[in-house]
Amino acid sequence: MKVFSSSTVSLEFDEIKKVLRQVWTGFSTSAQFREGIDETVKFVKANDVKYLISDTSGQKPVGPEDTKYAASVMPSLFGSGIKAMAFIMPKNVITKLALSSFAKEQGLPANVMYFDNIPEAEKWLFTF
Amino acid sequence: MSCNSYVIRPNDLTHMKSFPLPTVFEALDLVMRNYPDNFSDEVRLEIEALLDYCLEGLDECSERFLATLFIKAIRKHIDPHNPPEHIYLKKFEVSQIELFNLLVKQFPFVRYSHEIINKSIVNTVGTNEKLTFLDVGIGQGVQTVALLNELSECYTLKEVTIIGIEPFQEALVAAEANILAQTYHFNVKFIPVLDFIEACDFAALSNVVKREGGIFIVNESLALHHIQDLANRHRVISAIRALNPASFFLTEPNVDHFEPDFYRRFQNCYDHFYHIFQVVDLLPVTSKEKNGLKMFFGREIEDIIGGNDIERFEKHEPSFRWAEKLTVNGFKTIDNFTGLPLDVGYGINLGFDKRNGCLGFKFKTETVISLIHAVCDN
Repeated sequence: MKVFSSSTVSLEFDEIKKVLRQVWTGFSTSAQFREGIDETVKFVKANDVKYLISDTSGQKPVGPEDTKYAASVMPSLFGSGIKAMAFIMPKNVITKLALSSFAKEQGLPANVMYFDNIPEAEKWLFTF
Repeated sequence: MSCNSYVIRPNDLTHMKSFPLPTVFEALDLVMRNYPDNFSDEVRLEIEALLDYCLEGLDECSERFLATLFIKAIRKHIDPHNPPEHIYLKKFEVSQIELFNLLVKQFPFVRYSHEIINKSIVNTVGTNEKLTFLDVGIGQGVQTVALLNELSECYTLKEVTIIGIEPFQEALVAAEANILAQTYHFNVKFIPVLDFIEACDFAALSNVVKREGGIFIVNESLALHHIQDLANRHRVISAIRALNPASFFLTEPNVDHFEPDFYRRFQNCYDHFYHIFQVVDLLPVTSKEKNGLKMFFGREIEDIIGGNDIERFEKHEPSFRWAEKLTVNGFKTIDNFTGLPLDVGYGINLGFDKRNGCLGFKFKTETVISLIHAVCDN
């Protein structure tokens, strides 16, 4: 079920699996990116979400400040019931490098992992 | 030299998983494909994201340092009248004096080029009593002073006339002071010529050379590539040939930055400095000095990448093309160098390329700099 949609991000929730999928497409302005992040946090806080998949495969880079912003909401997500989070790796090489900076910023907890595709990601998520 | 090409999870060794990262070059390559005018807001964001990535651990990773210098250069191209400040790079700058010392004493390509060329000049002078030496782009006379010291071995030498051509007055004044600061067993006369080599009055120069007499030798070290166009490069070499020197020595980086196509020029430039930075990393100097040297090369990168084709100054050409210019203008290249070190160190191989007539300093796959010894082909 699609729970939010903008020109650069959509949120789809699978009520049975308790998985929220965040799908990014192309370039997001700072405002669009933060809106997507904020909507994610809002939905997680209000619903029984156990797993989060951030599909960045089609995402273009975001600015350094926005990367930091995304990193800053992670504790709030995990504090609201998220057990584990998986990233689907971006295809854009610069986004990939930026994501590695995000990973470093995050300190890479054990319940955050990076995958090439969704089936692999889900298989891993459901071990939590 | 690829640093941090995998992100790993340090706090979960049992499930440790890594994801391969693209190289910084791959990312930079993506950015450069937008030259000259596709730098949309989105691409600028990509540049900022890449810069942010490179700035992390910049001073410990040559590849990131190099990419940062390229980003700095491309930002200058995007906004030439209002380039962004690069405060993060300022701290790596070292003084001009420190830099010259580093280049001449520690940087093997410069140090050994000077040594080999100077010893080869001494060998050419032999038992002559009089030497007239034309130094194209004499700078502050660092190599020439070292040459005068080497010439002490030429016991028969009585007079040395140095004609120093240099477009920057401050440097020329310093060159004169440096050259005349010491005494030798021979007399030294310095004739300064404040001009670009391509603007020189060669007829007047010819009269000076004839008047001074003796064996006549010409040297240029990292100067001819500053001549902007090919026609003038040929004209200068032809004019030097008309002076009939006993030897003409050239020292030039072996890379094609004359290339008008930006993308190819970028690839040539990256490859060249990627190898140079690896050598810099091996030098027995402090991190501050290594980064200072990299900043020095950053100014060249800024010119090669950031400048437009008309304003560019660092228009290097591969050494075989210099050899070709010499040949068509009545010179022939010879394998006659003296004082070759047994081991340059740092994994650099020194070898004569018979096909192209150059002595090259090769690091891994890149011949970074080449020396050419040319004589008149009568």
